[in-house]
Amino acid sequence: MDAEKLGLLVDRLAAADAAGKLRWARGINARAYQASFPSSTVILEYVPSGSVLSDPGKGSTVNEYFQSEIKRAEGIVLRVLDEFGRDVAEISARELEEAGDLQRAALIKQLYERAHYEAGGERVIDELLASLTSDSR
Amino acid sequence: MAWYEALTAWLADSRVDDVVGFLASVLSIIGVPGAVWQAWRARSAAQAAEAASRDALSKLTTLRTMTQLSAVLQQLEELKAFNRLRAASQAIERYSRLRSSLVEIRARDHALNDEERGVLQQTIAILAQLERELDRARERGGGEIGFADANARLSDELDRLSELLASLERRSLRTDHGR
Repeated sequence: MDAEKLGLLVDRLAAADAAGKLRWARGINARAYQASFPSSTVILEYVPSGSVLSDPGKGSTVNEYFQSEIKRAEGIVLRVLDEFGRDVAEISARELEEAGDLQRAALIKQLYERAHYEAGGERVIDELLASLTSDSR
Repeated sequence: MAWYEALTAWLADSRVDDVVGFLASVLSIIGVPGAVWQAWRARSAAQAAEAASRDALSKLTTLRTMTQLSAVLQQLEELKAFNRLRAASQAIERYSRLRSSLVEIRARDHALNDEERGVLQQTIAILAQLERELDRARERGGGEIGFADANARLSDELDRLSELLASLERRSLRTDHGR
């Protein structure tokens, strides 16, 4: 997958999220969040150090596969699923940092924090606090 | 042919041909807009029939979507039960079938808006990922995934799809009462 295209996707997602257009929901793992569009899904996942969770099919050689795994290890990974829920692309904050694209790496991390806030329960607590504050006035 | 000469003479004298010509002109002046009006009415009736047919088709599609969604909700509950029983083979088959049903609904019902399609896509993505995780677990020989977590996600999707079903029902009722 064209890295520049994925970088552009990170930019557009950050803009859409800032405009409140993304609806984050919990993913299948505790540290994963996803936002769905009419025929695609974006997943943001925190991969802890030492994790091995990639598809064995990634990379055409064993070496490429392990390099891909190393790049994915520890950090935030952005994955894209197609209309049938198949993995079609991914990019990690770590890969972007290594490529010198610190701005987009930071955007992925900000997106993850926003998704965690929206779908991880913090937003509900904030709304509850705001509601209780206005009730007590 | 005396009678013929008498008739033509009378026609010439009485100028009845002018009167007939005048009447014909009047009739044609009235007749042309009348014909246009009849044609317009026929066209309007045809358009109304076409709109009614489109509306009926759309209602049938929405009804079919609602019926299918209800079935999906029931099957999701059954899938949760399979997970609790650790019935991995039945669960895998059910994940796949549910995903296909949702893909079909999205492809068939063109009246669904982007947000509604997004809700279907969200569930499709969750089902696809859980199915893949289960397949990998079986490949590794474990055969199981965190069923409590899987069921928690399935419950989220049940809630979302129930909301979608309620919204489609409301829209369907609004359309009926609106006419």
